[in-house]
Amino acid sequence: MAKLTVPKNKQVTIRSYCQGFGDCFLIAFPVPKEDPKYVVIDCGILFGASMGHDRMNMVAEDIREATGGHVDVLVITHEHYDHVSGFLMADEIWKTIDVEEVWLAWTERDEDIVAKEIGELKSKIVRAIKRLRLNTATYSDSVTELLNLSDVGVDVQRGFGAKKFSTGTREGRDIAIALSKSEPIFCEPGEVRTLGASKVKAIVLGPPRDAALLKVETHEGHQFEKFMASSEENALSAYSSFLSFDLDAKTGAFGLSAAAPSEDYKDRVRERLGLPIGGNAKDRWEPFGPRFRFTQGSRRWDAYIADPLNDSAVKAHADERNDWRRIGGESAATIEGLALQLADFVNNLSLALAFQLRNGKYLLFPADAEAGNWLSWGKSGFHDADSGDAIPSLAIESILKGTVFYKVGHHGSHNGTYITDRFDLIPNTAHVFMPFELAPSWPSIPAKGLMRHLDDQGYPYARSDNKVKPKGKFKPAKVQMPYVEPNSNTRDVKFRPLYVDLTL
Amino acid sequence: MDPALAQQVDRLQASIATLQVRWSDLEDESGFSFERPGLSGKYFEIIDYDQPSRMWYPHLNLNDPAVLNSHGLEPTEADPRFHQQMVYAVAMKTVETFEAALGRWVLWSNRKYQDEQGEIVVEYVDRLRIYPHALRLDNAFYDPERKAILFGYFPQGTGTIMDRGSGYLVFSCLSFDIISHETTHAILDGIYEYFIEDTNPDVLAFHEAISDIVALFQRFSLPELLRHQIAETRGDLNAENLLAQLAVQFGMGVGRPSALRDAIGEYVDREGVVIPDTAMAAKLGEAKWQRKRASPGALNQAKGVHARGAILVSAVFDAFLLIYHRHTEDLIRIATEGTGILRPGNLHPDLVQRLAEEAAKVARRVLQMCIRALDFVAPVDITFGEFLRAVITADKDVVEDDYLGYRVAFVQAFRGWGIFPPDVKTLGTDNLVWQMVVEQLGESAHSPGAYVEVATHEPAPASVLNEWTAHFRVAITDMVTALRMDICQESTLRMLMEKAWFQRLSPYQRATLLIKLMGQRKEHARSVLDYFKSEQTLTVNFDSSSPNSDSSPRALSDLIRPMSVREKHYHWSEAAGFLLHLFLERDKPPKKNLARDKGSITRKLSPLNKVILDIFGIEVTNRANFQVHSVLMSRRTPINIQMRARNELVIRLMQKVYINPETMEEYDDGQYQDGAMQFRGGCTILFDLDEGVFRYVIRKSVGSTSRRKAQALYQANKPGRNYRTPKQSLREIHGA
Repeated sequence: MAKLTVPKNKQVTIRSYCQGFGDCFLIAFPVPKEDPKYVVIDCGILFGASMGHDRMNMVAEDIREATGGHVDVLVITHEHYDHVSGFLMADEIWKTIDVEEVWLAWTERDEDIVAKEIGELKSKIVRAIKRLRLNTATYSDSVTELLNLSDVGVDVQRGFGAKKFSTGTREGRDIAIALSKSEPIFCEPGEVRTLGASKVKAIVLGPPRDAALLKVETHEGHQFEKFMASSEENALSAYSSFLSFDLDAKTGAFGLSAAAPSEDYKDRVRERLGLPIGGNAKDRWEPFGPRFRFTQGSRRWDAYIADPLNDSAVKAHADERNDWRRIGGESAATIEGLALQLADFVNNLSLALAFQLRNGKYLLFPADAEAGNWLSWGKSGFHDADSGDAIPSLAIESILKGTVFYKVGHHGSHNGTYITDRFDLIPNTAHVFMPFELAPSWPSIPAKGLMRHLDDQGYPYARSDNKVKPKGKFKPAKVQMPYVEPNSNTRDVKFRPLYVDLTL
Repeated sequence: MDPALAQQVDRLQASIATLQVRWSDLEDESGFSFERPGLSGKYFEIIDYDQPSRMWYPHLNLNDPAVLNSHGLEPTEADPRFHQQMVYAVAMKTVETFEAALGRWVLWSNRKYQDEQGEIVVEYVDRLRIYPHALRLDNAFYDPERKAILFGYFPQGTGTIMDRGSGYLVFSCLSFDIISHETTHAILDGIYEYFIEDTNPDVLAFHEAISDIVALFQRFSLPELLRHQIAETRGDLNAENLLAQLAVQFGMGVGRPSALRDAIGEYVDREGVVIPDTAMAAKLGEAKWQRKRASPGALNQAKGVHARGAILVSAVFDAFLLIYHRHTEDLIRIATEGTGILRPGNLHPDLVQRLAEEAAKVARRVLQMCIRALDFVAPVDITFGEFLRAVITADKDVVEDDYLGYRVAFVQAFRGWGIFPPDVKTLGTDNLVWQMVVEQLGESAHSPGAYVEVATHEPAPASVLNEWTAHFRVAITDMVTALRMDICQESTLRMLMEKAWFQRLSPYQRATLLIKLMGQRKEHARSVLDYFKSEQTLTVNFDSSSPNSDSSPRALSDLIRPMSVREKHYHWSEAAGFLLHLFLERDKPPKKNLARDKGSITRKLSPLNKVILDIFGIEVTNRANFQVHSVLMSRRTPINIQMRARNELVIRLMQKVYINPETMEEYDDGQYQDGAMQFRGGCTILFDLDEGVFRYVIRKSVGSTSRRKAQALYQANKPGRNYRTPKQSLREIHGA
């Protein structure tokens, strides 16, 4: 098989692999009179996918052939199984491929103070999950899958008591990093890197630096970590990303506008979490009338504990020796909730990239970025990575408006594409690729709202489960239709069982 | 009963029931009094802290004369104290059902944790904690870590933030069924802690099924509901009825046409296709109830814990219906002058009353059969087929003949649902009874087989067992006497210490036995040991350099602490288990392991003990340790008055090995390795205390290759593959 090349007068060829639920992209940027620059973004498939090992080996083999065994830039967007497992499963093949540079998000840099803090936050959630998961029998398989994403080590196979079980997410990432002889490059938001002679510019959009504002606060001493943010906007992104499990999967969209969320919305979030409600809003979940309600420290508290039954109950609950029986924060800290928090948290640490082609158009690869990440894009302006000079001409709006290819964020989930605000800027002529496959355990993927939006707006799109969407009904694979615009040269799109090539 | 019923005028009368529960005074007969946080009795402590709201609610004083005079608070959803009363009464009722059927105290599973030194501590848990308002979720669960049941509440509707639904709150702690269900999880966990290990498709499903069975049949003890439903269905319980439905309000609250679960019905759409739970919301409008039909293939098709469990529930309920209809045929004939065809219109209230009585009687017996069966299954890796054999055996144990057809009905109903017992040649009820020990030994003594080697070199197993039992019987009878005398008295302990068998134990063993009886921690074994070393006086002399000599006990009596009756039984069980362990490996010199669950490499066993362990199905190898899991004293009351009540010991032995999934062999060092599969075996032994014989040994050998293969295959193929969505899983009532 021949190498992947870019035809004359074309800007780029994007090979989107169709391995299933997971990301893997090979992009070729032409260089005059030379081999194209090859960029690979992620390589993974969901834990437990059938034939996953075989599929990933086919993908890796194809990458080796298509690049002639030489990859210029390997991008690892974030540490989730469905983005890195290919390196683990096909490590034999990957080790025979020369990788010039490996790019990671700044949050992966061990020395970075903020990254460290984020790492701690992550391990706090992990610890909370581990505390909760002792009760393994009670949570669903979807949660198991969520936990497997981040390799929290839930032992589904060997029952209780087994000591260590690992899906190998971290190992996958480490194998990928080791592929490059040079030190990995940690990308900061706002950086613009030029890809050598191809003149293509890679623009780092996220993860945001101001994620540092996501401080950890221990709530009432134990049980669950609450994510507090110091400004309204960060509160918004924190809430929306960490509580996405409460957002409506039916509409597929955030109920959030670009402006600050309404008080009403925030109150409902707070109600659910049992946080104090602002203003005069009434707690709609409050089950009993005021005469039955007593809060510790309130005026009526003395009257409450005057009854020995109540007093003994309060004391028994507060008793240090009975610490292990105390309840706290289950509503938010159910294992389901925490697993989602963790998954969402790591998703928001995704390295989101845009590539500026020579004709000034853009390719957008947000990985699994969720709302918090999306919102932060372009916040601090853009600058040249080498010289440090600011690039005032570049604005996030122009990037989005000039997008010609969009990799759907987070496999088409309800919170991976920020429909209400930023996404609208992407013109409906942009080609959309959705790397997912229907999985019963992920019923909200693809989000109906997102699909409807794509249909309504008339975006041409393709799905990695080998189905393409003409106007109207789904058709099976290999019927390549308006993934390209009806008038355009169809030679520019190639459908193969393993991948879809798009040349622009 | 279920708040949803009180919202319909025609069902109002069925929605209220008065439960009589045992008076739970807070002082024991012996004068031992408890701390009593919140609303607590001997089994439960209800703490009404609403964590999500950060609110405390007032606790009901059940002993308040005003409450007592009116048989408790009037039902109302608006008063948290009624919620507590409801939870308490139903949970107590469930405990009483179990105690009556099993003939012994209900004990909660003990708490295991690591202390600061990293030592594993096992602690007795006296009371289960109940939080009636712990979660803002459409869920309620038993938490085996906290030894607590957490109930949730949620607004009717989808329960998401974006959709507030109608906003009316649904309280899971007001559902009779959910309370029984979760309490049963807790009780079952107290009996079989390994039934929460997913080793074959039936295990977790069994946990769910038993909880549903208890919840279902307990409602037949509510006369108001029963009469109402008999009248409404005109005596035909095959029609859609509330008796077979669980958690009505909860079910409707999460968007189902009716109850959360239904033992005899399912919903079909316009085309008559059964609607799965996932699609229920979409097809709510067209859903139509229909009687579930038993099919032998159903079990193989059922996916997921709840679906599989539902089949066992349906099978038991079908057995109930078969018996019920047989028992009431005559009543119907009398009422219809022999035609058997009821006239249209309402039934005569007398007939309703008589039918209700029959239904209640049959339901009680069916529930007892199911609960009694719990003592007739091996302690690990249960399957539905074994449960059927256990039901039949347990029932035969209390009722000699079966002229009322209870057992036949069970076999018939189970067969209808494709549940077949393993290793039997025919499905006659006599064939399904577990073999008694005498029969098993009789056979193997004369035929070549497992015991051939033993038989050529040693006396026959039966005579070895008899000889061993004679020794064991003396010791265990003394132990039983001690329990009856009260183990919290020094005189009782002294009585034990004078026994010949006791004095043959090593000082370490004696000390450990006493420590266990007194329910003290292992550290104190040292002081008792010192006492035995001096053998002079009861006063223990500590050396003065001991840092906490001031607080340390100086005499045996200082270690005795007051205990509740159930706690005495618990510690007695621990001590009896230790004693049995010593008897099972008596020739082995005790090493420093004071704990019964440590070490105990069996290679130094005498040939005689090997024979005994072999009879109990315990693998005697260097790699497999065994432990005595529990020794419980039961008193079984017969249903036939001709039979005598049996005082029995229910003994459970456990073994665990780590298996290499490639070779299906244990690892040489017996230790855990990466990738190893944990594999358990064990047996349940019934020992008749009056006659001093072992009656049944129900084994699951740790050496079974076929079981190893089955577990490996099952677990390899199940990494989260029986898909359920997060939403769905929240909507099911969880339990460990």
